Amino acid sequence: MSLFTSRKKAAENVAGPAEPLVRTPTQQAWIRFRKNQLAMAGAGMLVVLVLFVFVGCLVTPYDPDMVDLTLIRAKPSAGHWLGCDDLGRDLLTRLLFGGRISLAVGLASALLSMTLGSFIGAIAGFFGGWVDSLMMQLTDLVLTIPSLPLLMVVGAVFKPSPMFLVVMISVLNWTKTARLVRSRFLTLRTLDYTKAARAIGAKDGRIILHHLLPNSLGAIIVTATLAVGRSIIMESTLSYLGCGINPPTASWGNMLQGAQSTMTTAPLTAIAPGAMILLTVLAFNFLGDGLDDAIDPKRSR
Amino acid sequence: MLKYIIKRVLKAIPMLLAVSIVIYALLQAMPGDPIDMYLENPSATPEAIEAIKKAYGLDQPVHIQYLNWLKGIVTGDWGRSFMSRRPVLELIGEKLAPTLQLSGTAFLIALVIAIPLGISGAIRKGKFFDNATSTMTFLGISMPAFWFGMMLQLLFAVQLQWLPTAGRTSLTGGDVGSFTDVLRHLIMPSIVLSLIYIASWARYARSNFIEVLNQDYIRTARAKGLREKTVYTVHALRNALIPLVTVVMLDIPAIFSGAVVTETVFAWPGMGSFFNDALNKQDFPVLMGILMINAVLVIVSNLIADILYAILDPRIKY
Repeated sequence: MSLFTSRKKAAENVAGPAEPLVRTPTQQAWIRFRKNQLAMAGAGMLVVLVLFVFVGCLVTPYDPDMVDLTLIRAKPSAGHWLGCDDLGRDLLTRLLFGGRISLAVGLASALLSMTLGSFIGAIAGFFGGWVDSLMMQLTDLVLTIPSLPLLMVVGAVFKPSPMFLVVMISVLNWTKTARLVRSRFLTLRTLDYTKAARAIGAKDGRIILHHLLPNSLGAIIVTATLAVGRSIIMESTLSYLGCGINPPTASWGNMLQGAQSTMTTAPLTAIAPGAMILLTVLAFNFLGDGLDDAIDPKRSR
Repeated sequence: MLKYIIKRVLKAIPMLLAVSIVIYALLQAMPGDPIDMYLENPSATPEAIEAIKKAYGLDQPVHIQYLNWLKGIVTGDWGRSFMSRRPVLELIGEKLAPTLQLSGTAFLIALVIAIPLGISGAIRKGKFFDNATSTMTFLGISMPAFWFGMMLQLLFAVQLQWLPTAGRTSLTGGDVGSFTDVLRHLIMPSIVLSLIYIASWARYARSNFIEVLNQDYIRTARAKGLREKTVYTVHALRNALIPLVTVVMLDIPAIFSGAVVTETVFAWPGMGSFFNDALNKQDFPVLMGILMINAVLVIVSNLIADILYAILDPRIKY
């Protein structure tokens, strides 16, 4: 649409300053993305949330793990804006530090599962044949494993560090990306530019990294963005059940575990961490949905 | 068709074996040993401990233990709980009814709400109703179910006191365990468990219905002069529902295992709570049993989804 109008404008005043008429697909996607209110809202929310959490951790005067028995379940006040939890720890401070963990775990496991899934999907789709069927068997196997109960067992057994939790969540969550990348690769490898690259003697690795992967990147990014939200919910669920991030380290999930017993007397201990999870996941889902529309113009409505 | 079904079943068996090996190996890696409990008893002689190990088959190498366990699974002997020493299958059987009650109700709620919601959204695409329901479904998929449960407890049980906070029956009062008593306890957990499926199925139904409405046969139906209502119900609905059947079938095991979380929030005495208990006490045979039931459920629902799809969509060749 904007392409059309700018061309008309350029035709009207030929002598005027030349406006670029050709936009690269990336520029077009960026324009569509900026027009997508939902995506922009998601991106804006994320910037605010990340700043809030990371800057907040630096400026808060309290230690997130400092127990103050005189402040047990204290009501919100000038000193403690959201009040205190059942051990007298400042709720807002724990919310900030917990957010750092939850965001880090969510982002890291989305990144890791994206990498893992892309790798497996890429070799399956590129090489085909027995490699493909082996990789798809593996994908089916992982899909068959009941992931929530299994993660609970792993969490209860190994008392995981955040890093370990990231690895576990990723190991069970790469299947979607793998299937997506595989199907993209199956299409792309038959296209002329792949044949041309092969004709001039490019090696397999170069074709995958320079031709096939960049052309699948849009879809991969969308899946990864949506995966961040899922990972954050997964982490918080596990921590809530006592199988994720272990106290005293705060995460939004284990704060809610503690809130189960305090929510009748101090409702904010239950409301605040969940609201943060909701806002964060919502932001990532808005962003992912908007990116999806922006990157794939055929699907735009 | 029969050939296709047999082929799919035969493919499912090695998959199930592989999953059982993964799960078994993982539980073997548990640091605690069920025998530890007996070691704390000062009067336990080394001979007595050996005898106990022998009784549970813990003195044999791991792969033999696995094969014994597998034989037991197939023949209906799922071992005995380390804690209560009762047969696992019997224990699970007792907990099955409350979980089926909860997940079944959640499934029905989700189905009855999601599909009409998605389709009315699709018909009113871009209008106020569509935007409102789309926002709501977005909230639904972005919310941790257990937190939604806590918020419902806070509002309806603590503040308004309309519904009981937790449990399956009241502890006191004249109607303990009666139908209405259980029903009142069932309302919040089943809504919580169905939330994510209401949201995701409604979104799926909406986008599917929109896609179907763009098909040529819908244009033909409209061109024939059929009423919109007939176009929607006779021509569009059936075609839009076919892919939805698969999605719904594939989500059934997740509803079942998702009950773990919901049951914990609402102290619902089903398999989820039982699983949590077994986890805390490292009750190996019980954990294995429940995990295997989950795995079987995933494989069976995959199988049924594929077969149903092949039956419903005549374009599928198998």
